[in-house]
Amino acid sequence: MAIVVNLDVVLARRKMRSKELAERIGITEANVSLLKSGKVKGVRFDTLERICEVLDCQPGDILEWRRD
Amino acid sequence: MTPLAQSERIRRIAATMSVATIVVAVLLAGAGVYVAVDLSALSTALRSAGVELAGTTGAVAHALIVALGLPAMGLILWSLWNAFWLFRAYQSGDVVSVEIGRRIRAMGIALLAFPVVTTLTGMLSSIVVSWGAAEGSGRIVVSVSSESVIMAITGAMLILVGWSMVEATRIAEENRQFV
Repeated sequence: MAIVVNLDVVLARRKMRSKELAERIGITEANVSLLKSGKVKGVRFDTLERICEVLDCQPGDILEWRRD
Repeated sequence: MTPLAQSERIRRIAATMSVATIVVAVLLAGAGVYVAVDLSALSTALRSAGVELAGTTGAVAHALIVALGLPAMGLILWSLWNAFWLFRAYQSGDVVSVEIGRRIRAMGIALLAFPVVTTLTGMLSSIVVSWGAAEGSGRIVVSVSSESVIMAITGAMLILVGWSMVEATRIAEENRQFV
């Protein structure tokens, strides 16, 4: 996969659980789990914005492009 | 009216309509069989399509005319089957799915094909009826009514609505995969 989701890394750095992130950004824990595993087609800008706000990070900290 | 009450109302209407569709299908199939076996009923049915049954008609001609009526009957029953399926889906609360779009499109195809098929079979029936008639008395009837044109336009519209529904469902499905 070309786009890698590093949400689990950022969560670990912030010592935050998926459940808390899900509650604070207003999506289900199942969707956070899907996002962490990269099993989603896309991330809405407003979801990304809330994640960045809660985790105090940049979109580039969460999403990374890697050559296949 | 609240969305929930409206949804309940739609479900009730859909339940009634699904039963009505089956009743109409059974009545039509029964009428089709009746017309197939009763020559006077066939004569009346043909007259309504603009074809006059002249004098006596042989068994072969009778059978041919009945056979020519089968495609139109098939289209009606297929259309009613799709309508029944759609009403059952709305009754169960399934209002947006690819299958619903496909069924609407199928109904549109049936409605569009019906006037074409009946015009052709009406024309062929008129040939069968006047087959072997005295020279100069044979005729071909081409009957196109305003109802047929409206039915064809409605059919074309339903094909487009069905296609839109399929596309909308795909977009909704894709949207569900975004978080």
